[in-house]
Amino acid sequence: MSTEQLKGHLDAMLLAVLEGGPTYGYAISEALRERSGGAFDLPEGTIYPALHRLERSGAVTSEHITVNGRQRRMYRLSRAGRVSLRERRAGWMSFVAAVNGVLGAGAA
Amino acid sequence: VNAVDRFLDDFTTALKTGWRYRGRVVAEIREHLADAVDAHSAAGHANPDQLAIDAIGTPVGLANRFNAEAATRRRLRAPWWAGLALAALAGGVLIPLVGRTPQPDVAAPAFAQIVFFAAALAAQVAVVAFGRGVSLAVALHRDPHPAQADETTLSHAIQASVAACVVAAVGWVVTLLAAAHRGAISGGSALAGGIVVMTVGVIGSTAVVVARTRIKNTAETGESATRPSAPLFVGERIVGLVRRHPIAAALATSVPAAALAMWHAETTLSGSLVWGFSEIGAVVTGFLLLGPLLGLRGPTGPAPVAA
Repeated sequence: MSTEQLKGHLDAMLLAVLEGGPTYGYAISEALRERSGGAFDLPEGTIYPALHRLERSGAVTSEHITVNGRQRRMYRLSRAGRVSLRERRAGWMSFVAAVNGVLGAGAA
Repeated sequence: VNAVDRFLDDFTTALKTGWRYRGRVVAEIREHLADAVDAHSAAGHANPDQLAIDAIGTPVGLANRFNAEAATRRRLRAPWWAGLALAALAGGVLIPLVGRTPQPDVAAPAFAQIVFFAAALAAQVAVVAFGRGVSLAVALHRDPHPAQADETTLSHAIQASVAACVVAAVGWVVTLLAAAHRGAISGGSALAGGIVVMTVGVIGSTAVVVARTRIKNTAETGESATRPSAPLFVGERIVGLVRRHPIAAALATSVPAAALAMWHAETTLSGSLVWGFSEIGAVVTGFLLLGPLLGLRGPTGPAPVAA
């Protein structure tokens, strides 16, 4: 799947990964890869500017802490982020249903 | 120097951000690469450094994504610099007036009156443009993907505010110098006026530089086309009203301003009428000329904010 197809969905997917609990950048990129079955051809570094945008918008918070002797910036979903994720998820579901309604009709 | 260090050097060189944000970003990318190298090593892959680098993207491409975010952050801070310039102007205007006894029976020369009037108009433009910039900055602050048209309008608002601020400061200094020349105020007050111009100029030029920060075009950033709901965007709602009812907005602004100008003219009725109508004309002209620039009228304004 190309990066172009991911436009508009990366933020929601990052929020969805963080819904499972606070985590750090590399783990987020691994989670994206695993959950998508490796379908996304996205440079791993792309997630950081997106995380920073989400942090500026208040959907995500972060703190720099030491984990197992290694410095890591942990990202956490905020209350506003949960609301945003709920809205994005609902929007995506209705979008998928609508597209399926059109594309599926031809396949039947 | 290994491949990871070379990557980080190239990445750091390509970053065009403030030192604090740069430190955070570089640390984060370094941590990511260290994690990736560890993971590849644990999996028994050959050349784990290069695999980690290949997966994260090119140094310049990655840096440009951060540069775009940094530019947006800087641009959203620009109104506060413009606010400082306005505060300096207000302070500079007030300081020379402290302790000064009004002289209603003494009329300033026509030249000084005209300059003072122009400075007052410029100050009004500065305040309106500053308000527009602040309202946009507040509206865009919580938006992960501000529309470029909105950011451009924000930039224009700050530049207009600062330019008007500088004109007002220069006008105020000329007024003070004229007053000092005829002995109406002390040389110290005139000096204070000079300090106003310098202070406004320094802060204002900083504001303009920050507001003009160029946004690099970064494709494939996973941008969202959605905008958040806007319960706090009071300023943007006011702008929406102005755009829908421009004549009513111009009247609602110009008439009270004219009444204030007539009240402050401290002259005969006919003289105050000149001030009042000049003020009305100036407000309407300013609205016509600056309205499109500030997104207050015309088709070039920002997209309406979602309710």
